[in-house]
Amino acid sequence: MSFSRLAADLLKRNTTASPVDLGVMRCWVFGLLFVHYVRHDFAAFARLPTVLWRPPFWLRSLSMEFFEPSRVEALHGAWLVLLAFACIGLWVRISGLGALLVGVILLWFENTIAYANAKDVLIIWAMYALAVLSTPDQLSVDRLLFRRRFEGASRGAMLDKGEFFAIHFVRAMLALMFCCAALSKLRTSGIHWGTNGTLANLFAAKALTWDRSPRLPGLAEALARHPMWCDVLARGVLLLELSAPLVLVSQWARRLVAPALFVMLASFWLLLGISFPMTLVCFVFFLRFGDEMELPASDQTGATGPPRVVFDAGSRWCRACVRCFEKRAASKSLEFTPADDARADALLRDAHVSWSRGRRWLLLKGNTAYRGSAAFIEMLAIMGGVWRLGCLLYLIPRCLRDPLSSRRGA
Amino acid sequence: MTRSPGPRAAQSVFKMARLLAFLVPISIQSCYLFRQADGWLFGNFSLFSALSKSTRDTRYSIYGARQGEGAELRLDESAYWAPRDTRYSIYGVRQGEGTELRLDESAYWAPLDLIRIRAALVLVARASKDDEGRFLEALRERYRLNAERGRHGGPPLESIRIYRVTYDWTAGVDHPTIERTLVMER
Repeated sequence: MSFSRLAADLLKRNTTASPVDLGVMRCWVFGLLFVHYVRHDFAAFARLPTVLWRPPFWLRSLSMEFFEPSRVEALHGAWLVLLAFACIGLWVRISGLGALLVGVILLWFENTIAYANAKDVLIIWAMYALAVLSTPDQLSVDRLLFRRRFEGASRGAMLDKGEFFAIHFVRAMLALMFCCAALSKLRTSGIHWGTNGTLANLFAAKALTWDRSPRLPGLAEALARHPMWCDVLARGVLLLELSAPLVLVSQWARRLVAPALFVMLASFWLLLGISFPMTLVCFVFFLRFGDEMELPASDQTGATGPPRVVFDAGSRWCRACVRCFEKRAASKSLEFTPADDARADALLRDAHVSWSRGRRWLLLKGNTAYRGSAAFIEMLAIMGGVWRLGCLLYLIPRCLRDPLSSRRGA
Repeated sequence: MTRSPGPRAAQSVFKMARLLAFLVPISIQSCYLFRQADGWLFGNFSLFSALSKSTRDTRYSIYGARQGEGAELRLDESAYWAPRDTRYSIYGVRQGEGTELRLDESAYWAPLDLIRIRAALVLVARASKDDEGRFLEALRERYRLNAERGRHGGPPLESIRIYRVTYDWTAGVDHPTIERTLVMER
């Protein structure tokens, strides 16, 4: 077994993703970058005195005059166009790579003026993952415009495009970032960082020095009055940051540590007014959007026939949807079977798929089984026409979408 | 008849390149676990890693004897001592009335943030009066532009003043003392 195969197997074991997932992540990352930077005035940095220009030693020959305001404005405009294209998935390879390249130039330029801010670093790695390690073409305009190119692609081929690399890469960089931050605290200050009121002092300084960045007023002041609580909080922060690498190897850690890290970063914003919006966006790589599984080669029940749907007949919502689908999709011939029907049992047994009443829907299409709300979205896609817009529901994380759809069915 | 190895070789090279593209940044970032150096793109994210300024200078161990019982109590905790912080603070002078207005808020200066402005003030203070003037002029222009764009509702300014302010909250966060010195004006 080659080294690359071994690495790929290891990644696949720890990153169970559906091809849809990375497509949705592409929409979120590039879309939110567009929203965040659409009003950002990069040219303002080009108008500052050249004494503030602090490039790394290997780029000292490059003068700040190269970044004249009009040139920076043009780059900014180009970046926004590329981000928009990458978000909707138009010429996804070119737009993704272009957005990465122009984004790195602009953000590097900004961070070479007076002070290098580490806030933007992770979003650059997210763009890198989406443009270099994988080119997610799910949920893209490309799929509508160049349908023929995608028709022959099997699910296996889709999965071999680096989704696992991309997702695992961003998670690894995020985990390393937090771990580095914790080790940096321990190296600089030792365990005293969490025992002698440093956090309380930080809160007091923030409250008194009155940097009126957007934050919850009074919260930092209130915490500063209780140094003991702040120390407990500081030790919690250290522990959480040190445990960040666990998200790479344990599903439980991904469920506990990743949300806790997200809340910690968001709390910095609320308490200290120090925001990490683009780092928060990178937590999208911990979410799941699709819910599908490949059927064993011998059990590809739906491979030849029409797509088959097993639904919860006890739910009024499901029954109403089925009636609507049957009325509108006569030509598409979806085959519906209530879950309590004997035919459904046979179908599920043949396909080696288990049925869960809580998920309401199961769709067997080709060599793939879709479950829960993902099955419902795929049914909308099969209907065609404007119903295909239902695919936008994929943008809602599965952990929110599934409970919503099952409650609706109750 | 044998098939050409071309496409398979290209695929294998592509996979190897992708693996390298995956491993190289992770390896570089991993190095920063073991060294203290901050940079951009790779670094060890040392924000807030230092102890409070007031305690970093505490080299002796301080003990107090409790009244009455005489037992020793270790007081090497910043909570007992005067936390102090000195930083640049930006004020604007209102046009016409000449009164001061504190402007330590990101909305006035976006996309420049306060951390960057303070870092820049340190650099221009070390450079020349011309650079200092140019920077304050750029700040005034930013203030005006952001007001025009509706980012803040601040009044028109006559000048900008930079103070070096020392905060001292020895008596607790509710009773601070503040001293300030004017260092730049434009």
